Amino acid sequence: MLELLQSLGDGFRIALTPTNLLFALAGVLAGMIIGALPGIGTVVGVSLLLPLTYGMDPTSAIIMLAAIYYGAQYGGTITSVLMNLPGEAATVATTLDGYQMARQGRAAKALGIATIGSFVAGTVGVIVVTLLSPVLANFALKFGPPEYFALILLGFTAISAIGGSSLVKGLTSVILGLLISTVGLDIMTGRPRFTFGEDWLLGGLDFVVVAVGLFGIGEILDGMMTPGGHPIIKTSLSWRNSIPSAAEWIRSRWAIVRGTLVGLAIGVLPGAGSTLASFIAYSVERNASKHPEEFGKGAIEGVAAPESANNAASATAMIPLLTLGVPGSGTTAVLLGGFLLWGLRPGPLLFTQHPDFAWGLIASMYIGNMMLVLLNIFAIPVFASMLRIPYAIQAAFVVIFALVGAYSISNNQYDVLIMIAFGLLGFAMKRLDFSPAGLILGLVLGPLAELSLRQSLTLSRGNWAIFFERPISGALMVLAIVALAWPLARRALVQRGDLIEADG
Amino acid sequence: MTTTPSAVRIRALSLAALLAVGMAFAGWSGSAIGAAQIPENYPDRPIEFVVQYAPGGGSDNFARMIASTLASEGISDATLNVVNREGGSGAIGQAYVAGKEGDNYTLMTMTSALVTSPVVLDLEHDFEDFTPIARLAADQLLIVVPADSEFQTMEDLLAAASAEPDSVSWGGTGLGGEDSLLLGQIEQASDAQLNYVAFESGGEVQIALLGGHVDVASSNPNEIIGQLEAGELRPLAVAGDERLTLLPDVPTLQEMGFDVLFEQARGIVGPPGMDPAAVQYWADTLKAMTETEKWQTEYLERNMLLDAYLGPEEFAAWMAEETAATEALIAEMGLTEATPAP
Repeated sequence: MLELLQSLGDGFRIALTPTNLLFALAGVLAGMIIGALPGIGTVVGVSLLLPLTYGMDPTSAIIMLAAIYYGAQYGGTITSVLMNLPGEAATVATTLDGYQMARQGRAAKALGIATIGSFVAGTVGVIVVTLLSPVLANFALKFGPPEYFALILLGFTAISAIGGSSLVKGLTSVILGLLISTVGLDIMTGRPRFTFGEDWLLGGLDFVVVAVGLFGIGEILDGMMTPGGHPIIKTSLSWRNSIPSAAEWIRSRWAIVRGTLVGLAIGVLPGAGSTLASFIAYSVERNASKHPEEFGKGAIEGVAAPESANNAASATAMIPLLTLGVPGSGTTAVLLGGFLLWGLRPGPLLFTQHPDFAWGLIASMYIGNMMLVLLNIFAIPVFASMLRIPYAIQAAFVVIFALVGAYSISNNQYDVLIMIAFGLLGFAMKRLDFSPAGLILGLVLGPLAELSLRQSLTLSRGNWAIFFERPISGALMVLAIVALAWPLARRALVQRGDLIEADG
Repeated sequence: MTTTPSAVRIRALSLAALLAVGMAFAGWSGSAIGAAQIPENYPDRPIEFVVQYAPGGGSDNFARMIASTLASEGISDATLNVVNREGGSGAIGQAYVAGKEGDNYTLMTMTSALVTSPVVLDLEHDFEDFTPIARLAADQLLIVVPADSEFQTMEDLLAAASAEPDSVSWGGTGLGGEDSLLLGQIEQASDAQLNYVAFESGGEVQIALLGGHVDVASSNPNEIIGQLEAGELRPLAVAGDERLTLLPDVPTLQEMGFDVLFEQARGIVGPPGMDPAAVQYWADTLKAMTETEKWQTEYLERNMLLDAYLGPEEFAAWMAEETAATEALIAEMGLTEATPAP
């Protein structure tokens, strides 16, 4: 323990040098901007800035790039809440209640609780990275294909929380997402699926194109068709407005704790990451809540939980990279590429061979999270005041941002057309009360579920018992089944209760 | 139906935005670039250096190392902008570059997969559509098991996989990918039959291997050297024709008597119909780069790659040979016809 504190102390000595503080600040600022712009994902953002670090000291370089990574998690919240534009899969769950809060004139509150939740979760995440990295790395290794499949099944149970009023409509949305996710190259057989001979479809449909169309464009089409549906929202410019009230704090504090725990555990698993964590956290929160009916209508816990989860996850996602030398997500893969360019050898010996680098990075994550909370608290009123702009002008800008963003992903005009098509679909789904978030759930989790299912069955040579024979996978399967049954059971119990009351 | 003035304005402005982009759209499709002669001061504009795989992988590292070596060693003042266009096992980036006929300002990384994926996936373009510029290095594939694996040697492993087919699982990055072709060669050279399990990325294969969820995998040495040093993974064999300098105790498959040779070429190609003068410029520039100390130690040696420079003509001839061999292997593995899904 003493040794650990000494190493961390050395890390702070490195991270607190003026140069490194400046790089951390530059990183968090760039991260917030990258996170807020739809179309520039974190992976693209970090890889665009990677060439700048060629001649730099590796420690300064990793401090800046990591700051971009976790800074983007804060930035992604801004457009999700203000404009219903999730720039990353991990912030889709935030739009559900965040955007509704903004429509009610509580945008600053939504961003405020997201910032506080993110800060708490991010900081706890770094503490966990400091103290428990080796333990959690071993935990991650216990997750083979059957465990992943069981976990993703648990993720799918979120549909009862996000799917809207009708379970049938919710499931339809998920299945539509699953179907869309099958487009592209199937790696198990090496064959293209549903590409109609078009090479550009081999990579599948890009998440951002689908999500921005479905949410952003869909919302605007809905606004165009709603006479007087978007009055100018009055927002106070005082930053005090972004601090949650006592009542809101009481509602959110356990959401932050639960979201953080979910995020910590799932973030460490390579490939699963912050999206799964945010959906599961949202679903856990709704099931734990005393007033689940408020979710989707601007419940503050519905913002606090997924935002805490995705930030905790982005911290623990560094664990496989630092302790095993294996990237756990797209962005950490870019960081790993950076390690190689800077002449470091990623792997289990990183902490002993390059302690300055590893501990400097960890210390800088404490500092970066502090910078982010300060930046956000003072910037929130400015962001929230964007809603004072007449909706007509806002909408035009969102359309331009969205279309340019879609094109910039791979300079491909088909992406623009696909986004417009998903905009129309999003509009239709909204009007017909289908859940766009359910579609995203299917789209994001579908490929993971399919791959881990087929991997498991390949490994077991067709024996389905593999999901129940292994302890972690068996436990998660039981949990998933309970989670699926619980809302139905509760609904049934409530109805019976009503009947009894009516009888009496 | 009544409409409020605000709703009318929303409609008008949003439609204006849509229209503006629509018009820009019409402009894009019209711009076809014909084969152009290069100016004397070539490369007078920045070069788009396409990597058809995600950031952080072997090709990405290769491209970024070239860009940084050319700049820091003062070999060329050209600006190389590395751009990742990943997806579809490289097909997305390849289709993009194949569509830039006659463009002298685009380069692309090349691995052996550039030969295999058009054959396996039946793509519209194949290797011959690209302009070969230079082969720069040969990457090796190491066959590795977890440190506590029951298999002490490659022979042990193959004996178990022959005695009970599919009892030994091999983690790879997708059927039709390079690791699956190496496995195809191994299965042909022995009686073994392994259970191939596909993962999304090399990183996920490593996690599955370290966790003991799959028994064996192949990997480029630079991706796993950290684990080898820490004693977490154990190498059983090298798929190339000679042992690696940094791992002198690990035998080659050929030494063991298996007729298997798999080396992963790394090179540079251009779009179809590139100006021969531009090809020559890059072939010479890259040749000079491979001779620098920085390239030799910081790229080749550190990543355990072999120096394997070939100029444009030799590179083209070598690729033609590889294509024929790969087509034969893929046909024997039955990968060109739809394989039943597990």
